[in-house]
Amino acid sequence: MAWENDLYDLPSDIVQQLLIDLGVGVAVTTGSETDWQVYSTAEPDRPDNCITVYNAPGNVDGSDAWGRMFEQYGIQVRIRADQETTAWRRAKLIANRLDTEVSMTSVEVGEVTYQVSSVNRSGNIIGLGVIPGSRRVAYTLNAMMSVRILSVSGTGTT
Amino acid sequence: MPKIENVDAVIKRLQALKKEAKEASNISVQVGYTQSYAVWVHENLEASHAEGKSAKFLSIPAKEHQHTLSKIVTKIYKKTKDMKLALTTAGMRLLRESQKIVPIRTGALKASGYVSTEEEAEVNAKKAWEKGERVRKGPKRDPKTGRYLKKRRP
Repeated sequence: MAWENDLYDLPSDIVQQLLIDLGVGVAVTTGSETDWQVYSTAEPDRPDNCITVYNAPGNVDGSDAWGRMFEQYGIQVRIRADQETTAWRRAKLIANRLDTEVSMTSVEVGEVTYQVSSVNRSGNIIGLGVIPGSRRVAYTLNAMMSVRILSVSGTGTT
Repeated sequence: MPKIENVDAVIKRLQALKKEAKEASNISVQVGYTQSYAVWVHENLEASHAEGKSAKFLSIPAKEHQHTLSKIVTKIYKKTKDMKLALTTAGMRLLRESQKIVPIRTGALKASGYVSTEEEAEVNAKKAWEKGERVRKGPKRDPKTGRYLKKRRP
């Protein structure tokens, strides 16, 4: 039996779509160098200014009487840019949007609709400095996401 | 009206506990690594590491061992009433767990780990950095012959 908090997609894929819906990034177009495309799990070499979401260690907060586990999924958002200020400003914008605009937010990934209860940052924005081997800089922000499946297209499951 | 006995003694004891708690809460301990690339290695989730090593080498053990660390602090503080000792001991345990998974190439990052109270942080962090640098540079060699100047341990 699948519980509502079993995920069909990677947490990073869900946050990738969430960031696009929040307006802090755009969907990936293969071969395009548009700024602020949002990637999941792998950061491309180009464009310089991009956002990548990674999966990180999460938290398991026990279970209920029916054995359903309560889990928070760890994610990391890495913001890369060719200028320090550019990267910092985008990181701050993402942090602000996650802090203030995510609350029981619906996110569609493929045929599945998720409800993201919250994305709680687990610290300040971290500056990584200049990326080794390039002139680009990066910032990261780490967070915990609470999410559940709202519905799957065609099944009407809630 | 019923009289409650020893109220003054209870109030006095609670005030003493409050004072103790306030003093104890002003103490904090840092656990970290001082190599300049420490943050990069910690945060870089794309890098692949040897088996048993990983990024997030501080936050993973901090989360995994949070109950053990708080038990260490509670136990030691109860016994000694020394919060600095309690936090430092927990910090050293965290560092030890962290050093099990910190990625190793030259060993400098691992060697640069430190635990310190806030007041002594600058001094201890500098010592840790110097240790890391010594490990990174390796044993000294004679520039002419290339031979090691000190006898290497077998």
